[in-house]
Amino acid sequence: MGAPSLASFTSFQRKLVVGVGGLAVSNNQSMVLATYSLGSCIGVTIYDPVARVGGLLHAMLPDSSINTAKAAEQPAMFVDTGLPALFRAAYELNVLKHRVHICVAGGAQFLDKSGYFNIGQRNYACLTDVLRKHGLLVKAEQVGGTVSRTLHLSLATGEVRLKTSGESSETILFRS
Amino acid sequence: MPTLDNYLQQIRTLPPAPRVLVELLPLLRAADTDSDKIAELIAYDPALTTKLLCRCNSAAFGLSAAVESVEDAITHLGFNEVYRLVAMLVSQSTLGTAQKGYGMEAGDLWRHSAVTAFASRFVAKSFFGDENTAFTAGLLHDIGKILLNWALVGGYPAVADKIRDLGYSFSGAEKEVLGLDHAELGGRILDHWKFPANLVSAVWHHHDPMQAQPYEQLASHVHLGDLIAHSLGIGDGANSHAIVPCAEALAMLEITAKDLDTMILDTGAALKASGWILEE
Repeated sequence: MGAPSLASFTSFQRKLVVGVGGLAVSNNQSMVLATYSLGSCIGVTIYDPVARVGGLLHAMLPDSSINTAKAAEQPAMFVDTGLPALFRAAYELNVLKHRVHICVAGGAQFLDKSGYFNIGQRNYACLTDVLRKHGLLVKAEQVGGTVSRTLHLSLATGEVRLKTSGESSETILFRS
Repeated sequence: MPTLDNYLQQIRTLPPAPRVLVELLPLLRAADTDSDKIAELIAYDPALTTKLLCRCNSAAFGLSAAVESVEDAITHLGFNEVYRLVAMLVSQSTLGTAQKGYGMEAGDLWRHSAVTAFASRFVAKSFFGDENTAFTAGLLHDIGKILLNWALVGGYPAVADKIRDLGYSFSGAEKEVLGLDHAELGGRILDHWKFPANLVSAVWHHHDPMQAQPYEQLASHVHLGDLIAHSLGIGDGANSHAIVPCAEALAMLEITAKDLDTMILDTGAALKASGWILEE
C-alpha cells in the first residue's frame, strides 16, 4: 500500500456551514460555504472571481430596528445590517464591490392572502432595497414559493448550487 | 385508499405512548407539588433517566456540580426545565425517524417539532397561556405525520401536484388525496393515548385553530409556533410553507409584525442557547 496520491487530497472539499443569523467569508479555494434550511430566511452569496473570495449570509429577519442590541452583537441576524457586514468582511479579503457576483435564495412564503405572516416577502423586499441603495445587481436568484432551500457556494469556481427540501437533486443557480 | 380505520389500527404499531408527559403536566401546574413525586415518575423509566442525566451533565448546561440523580436535576434546573428536557427526550424516539413521504430525513421531524415546541412556548408566554402545555402541544403537533407517512410515500406526487397546480395547502391536499390530514390523525393518536382534551384539540386543529373551541387560544399558540418554526426552516420537509396562516387567530391574538419578528428572534436565541436541537 502506497501513500495516497496528492490528487486525492486536493480534490477534498471542506464545507463550512453557516447557521441561521450567521455569515462567513473565505479565500480558501478548497472550501464550500453552505447554509441549510432557508425557510422565510434569506440567503445571499457573494463572489469576486478575480480575488477568488466568496461569502455567504443567512439572515433571519428584515429590520434590525426591532432589537438594536441584538443587531450590534449579531448583525447577520438582520438583512439591513447583515448585508453591509458581509461586504465589510469581504473587503478585508481584497474584494472589490464592482466585481462581485451576487446570488439570492430563500424568502419562502406561506399561503397568506391576508398578509399577516409575510416574513419571506419582507426579507426579500428589504434585501432589494439595500442592494438598490448600494447600486448592486443580483446575478441569479430563486426566492419565494412554498419550499425551503439549501445553498452552496464553491470558492474554487464561484458556482452556486441550490437544493430544495424534499427533492433529491441539486440545481445550479449560477455558474460564471 | 386507506380508510381512517386503517390508520387508527396502525396506532398500535407506534412506540409506547409518552404517558409520562400526561402524568407530569398536572403536577407542574399544582403549586404544592413536591419534587419527590416528579422525580419518582421520571426515575420509573431508567433509560429516560440515563438520557436526562447525560443531557444535564453536557457542556451546554455549564453546571458546576455533577448531576447524579433526577432530584439533583430538579434542584439545579427547576421543574419546568427538567420537564421540557424529558418531553424532548421521550419524543425523540417517536419523532426521530425519517419521514420520506414528507421529504424529511432522519431527525428532521423531531427538529421541526422541538423548534415548534420552543416557539409555541414563547407565544404562550407572551399571551399568558400555560407554557408547558403549549410546549407539549407544539412538540407533538405533527405526530400524525408518522402514520400518514407510509401512505404519502406513494401518494406524494398527487399531493405535490395539488399544491403546485391548484394552490392547495399541504393539509388540504392530504384531505383530498388521502381522506384526512396529519393534524386530525395526530389528534386521534393523542386521544387514543388518553392525553387531555386541550392537547388533543390543539394538535387536531393546529392548522385551523378557531375550530378548537374552547381551546382556541392554545391551538392558536401552536398554530403560530408552527409558522415561526417553518419560518426558521429547521427540519423542513417538502413544500413546508404550503400552510394558510389563520388570519382570525392572528387577529384574535392582536399580533403585529414587530411582535412576530421578536418571537422569531427569541425562538432562534433559545435554540442556540439550548445547544442541542440544531446539532442533533
